[in-house]
Amino acid sequence: MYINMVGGKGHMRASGWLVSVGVVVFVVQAIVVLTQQQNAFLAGDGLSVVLALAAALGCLVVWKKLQHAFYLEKKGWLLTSLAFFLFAFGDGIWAYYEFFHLSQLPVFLVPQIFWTLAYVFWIFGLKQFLETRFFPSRAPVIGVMAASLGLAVLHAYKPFLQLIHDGRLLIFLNSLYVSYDYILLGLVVLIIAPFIVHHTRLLTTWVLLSLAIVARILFDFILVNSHAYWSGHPAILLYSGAYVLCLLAAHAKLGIFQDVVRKWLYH
Amino acid sequence: MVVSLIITRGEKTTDAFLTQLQKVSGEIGICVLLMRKYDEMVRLLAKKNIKSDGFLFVDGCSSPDETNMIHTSLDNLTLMSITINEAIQALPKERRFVAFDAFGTLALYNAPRVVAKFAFFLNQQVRELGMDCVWIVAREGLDPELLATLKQCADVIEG
Repeated sequence: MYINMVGGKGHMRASGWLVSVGVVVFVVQAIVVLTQQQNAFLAGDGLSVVLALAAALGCLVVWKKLQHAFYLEKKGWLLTSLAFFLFAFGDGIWAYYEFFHLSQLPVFLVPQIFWTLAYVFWIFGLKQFLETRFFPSRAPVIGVMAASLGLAVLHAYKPFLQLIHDGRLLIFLNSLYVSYDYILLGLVVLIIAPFIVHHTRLLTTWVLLSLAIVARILFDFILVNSHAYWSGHPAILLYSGAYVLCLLAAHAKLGIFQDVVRKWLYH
Repeated sequence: MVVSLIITRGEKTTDAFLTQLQKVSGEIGICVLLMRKYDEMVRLLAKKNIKSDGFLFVDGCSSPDETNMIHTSLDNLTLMSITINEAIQALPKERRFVAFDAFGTLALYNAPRVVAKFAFFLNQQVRELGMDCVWIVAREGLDPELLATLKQCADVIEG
């Protein structure tokens, strides 16, 4: 009867290792970015790839741990993991061309395509989490999502007109990140809402996941609205911090009932 | 996998709940407490010699969380669905159950129609997961629409 739960210990250990690696890499990145600006682009872009991969693997561990019967949530973690793999590919290509070709526009829009796909996967991943929940009424869900989609469209409208006018696709794709952020923000509101009044141990996973999204949103706002962004800009810590927070969220998810399971195991 | 509905007199709900737990004494499952607090229930279980080491309690009456008890809210059915779902994930899949001590209590905090929807949601979930589920309800004052939904969902009706 307890075999499945014994397997859970292995997942917890793997996740623990990933968290340790993620935290150490993030601390190194933060020290370099904040104290040695001449090497900041190396630490900023290069180490972000490591963190993205760690976050992807962390979510994959949760996906592996969940029983098939929880297919919607399982799918949510898989899509989130795939999103981070895509972020890692995008970040990796970007970093490669920056290190070896000193170019900020490596291959025509390839990183942007990966990042855009990553956002789409992330959004659909979060949507799966919401589908596992009971909602007394669909009205608040529809209201929040309509508002966030409205803001997303509103933000994309002007760059879209500009794209038609001068054909600058890169600017349009960059501005779309903020639109994705509005949608993610709407999903975050719905994910976190049930816990606003009632704080239980389940809160940790969702707060960490939500903070990750908020960190990414802040980064995208800085990237799009700041005219003085450079590789190794301190804001990169928000970008890579989002990966660490997701990694921690995945780890927290595995540990929710770990104490109970341990008690059953050794009883 | 069996969904059971136990309809009893108001003052007998706790006894009916304990009788159901007696049947699964020593097994692993979830007890959703909507009327009695965790401490009180553990005392009652001990008094009846029911082994509760394998029970994970979801408690809508007390806080904060303890080792094998997780707090939830009676008026926040979204949170309750998340809590039950997470608790089920911690159980081994071979044999597991979920039991509600006084399901009708939810109708005091939520519209009966919403509670009926929630019952239907739970029914789908336990059937997908192949779990046993027990609903204890007090006969008196129970909303007819809610009772009808519970009866439709149940495989076994007692009382």
